[in-house]
Amino acid sequence: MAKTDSFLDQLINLPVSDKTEGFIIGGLLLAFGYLISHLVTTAFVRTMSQRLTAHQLLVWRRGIFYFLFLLFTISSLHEMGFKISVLLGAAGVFTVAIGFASQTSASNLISGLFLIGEGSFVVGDTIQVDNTIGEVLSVDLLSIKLRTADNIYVRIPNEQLIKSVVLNLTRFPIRRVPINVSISYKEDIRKVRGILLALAEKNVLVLDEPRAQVTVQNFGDSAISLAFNVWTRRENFLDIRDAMQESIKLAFDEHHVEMPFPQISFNTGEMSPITVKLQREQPPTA
Amino acid sequence: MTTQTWWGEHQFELEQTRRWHLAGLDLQLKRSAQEWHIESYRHPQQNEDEHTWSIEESIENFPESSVLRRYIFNQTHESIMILPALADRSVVIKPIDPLFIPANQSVTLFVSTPLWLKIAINKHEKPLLDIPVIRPTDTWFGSSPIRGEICYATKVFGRIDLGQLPIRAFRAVTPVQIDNHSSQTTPIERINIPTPLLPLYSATDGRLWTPTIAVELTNNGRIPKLRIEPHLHQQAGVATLQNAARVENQDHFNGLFEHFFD
Repeated sequence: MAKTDSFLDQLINLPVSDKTEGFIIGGLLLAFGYLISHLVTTAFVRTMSQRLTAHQLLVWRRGIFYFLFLLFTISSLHEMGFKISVLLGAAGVFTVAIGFASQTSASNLISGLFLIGEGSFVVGDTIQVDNTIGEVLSVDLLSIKLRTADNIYVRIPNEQLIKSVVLNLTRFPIRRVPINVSISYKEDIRKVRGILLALAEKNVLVLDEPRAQVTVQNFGDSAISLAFNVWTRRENFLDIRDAMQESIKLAFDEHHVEMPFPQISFNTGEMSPITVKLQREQPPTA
Repeated sequence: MTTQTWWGEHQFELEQTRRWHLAGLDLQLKRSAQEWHIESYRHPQQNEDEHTWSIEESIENFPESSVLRRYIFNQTHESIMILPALADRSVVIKPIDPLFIPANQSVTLFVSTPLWLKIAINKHEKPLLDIPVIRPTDTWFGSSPIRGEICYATKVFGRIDLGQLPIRAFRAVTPVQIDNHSSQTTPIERINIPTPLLPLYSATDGRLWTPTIAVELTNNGRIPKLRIEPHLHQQAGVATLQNAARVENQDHFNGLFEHFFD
């Protein structure tokens, strides 16, 4: 091991061999570095918590911590007697080996950097990935963590997020609430449209602009399908979806608008209705 | 002439109850030695045009869906303030009939916006309760569903003669002076009134007033110049400050320039 004459070596003179002393100092430096990085990061978060968003805080916290800890690790390795230039050279060879061995982790890591850089969602947003909907708790280097409505903690690998479609449900302040309404063929569409639009107007949480809309979707087998779209603030989405559907049912009952069940019409091919005869069962004779 | 108003300072004996009926909002206040009970009930269908109100000493039972709030003090004060206030978000007014201002014309429109009600121990403290008398509908004001802000919506006639604007207990009058210096006729479809930035005054005739908002439209589709006049409109007469602006920061005001007209 090369003889080091650093400030620390001069300060600390342990009754052990130089090599052991180097390892002890290096170890102490590593522990000290971890502590310092942690303290600096905590102090930064406390100072800036009012000015930055939760997502920015998370990125800064990680960045500062890893940067400081890396510096301490390098100087600790130096204290231990490793030559950094040799290590970096060796790392080049190792990277290939490690790259093959930890392909998934590396892929997640790089995907994580892209995710953070892309900014499609931030901590606090509600996103949907495949069938999972949840609030983003943290965006880390290997995975993101979500909290679902059932209060379940979900970890999704970054690689999966990069590859799949991610829906950010809270990106914009307002959302459209789509409601499908089926009415019987005998109903007057104009009357139903009037009823639905009046319901939207009555509810103060439904936005006045963009306006509510009723459009005829298609003529189904047993019903006319209408699409009733109203807009609301994103935080009221679930309440409005519930409240509007309930009020539609009540209003339809009040105005005798029929919401049909699936039904099938039979005919015999001669366009004349099938005659149905009711036969009363004869009481048994004694 | 001083007319009776629904706001003001009210004295309460211990265990005294008083009830306000304000256009579909029922409010009952009760003072105990250490707590104020504020019970409120909002009728399911409130109408913006309703403006009847009364104050009663009687105690009635509220419907089950009413909300009771208890405020605990070391010792309750014998008086409580009921204060009128402007909306906590901007209010978008929409003229009932389409309105156009031809080139080089100036007009002052008298528009009205819905009022909020604050209950406070005194004017300087944070209110115990801050609710709309008649809850207006939410609306979105912006160029697209991505850019804009959440506001309240209300329909107005956009009177140019104050005499035609009826005195309504739960609405405040805002004069909007529009100078069209552009070379084109400008349609006024929706106007965003930045109510959180406006103070509220009461006049002797029972009307509530805010300062005038002056808008200057210039050529080439530039952003209109907008300012809040420091004085009240002369037709307001003698007026008393009821509530200072919710937001004092005028920087916020600059951000509204581009959003004034739709």
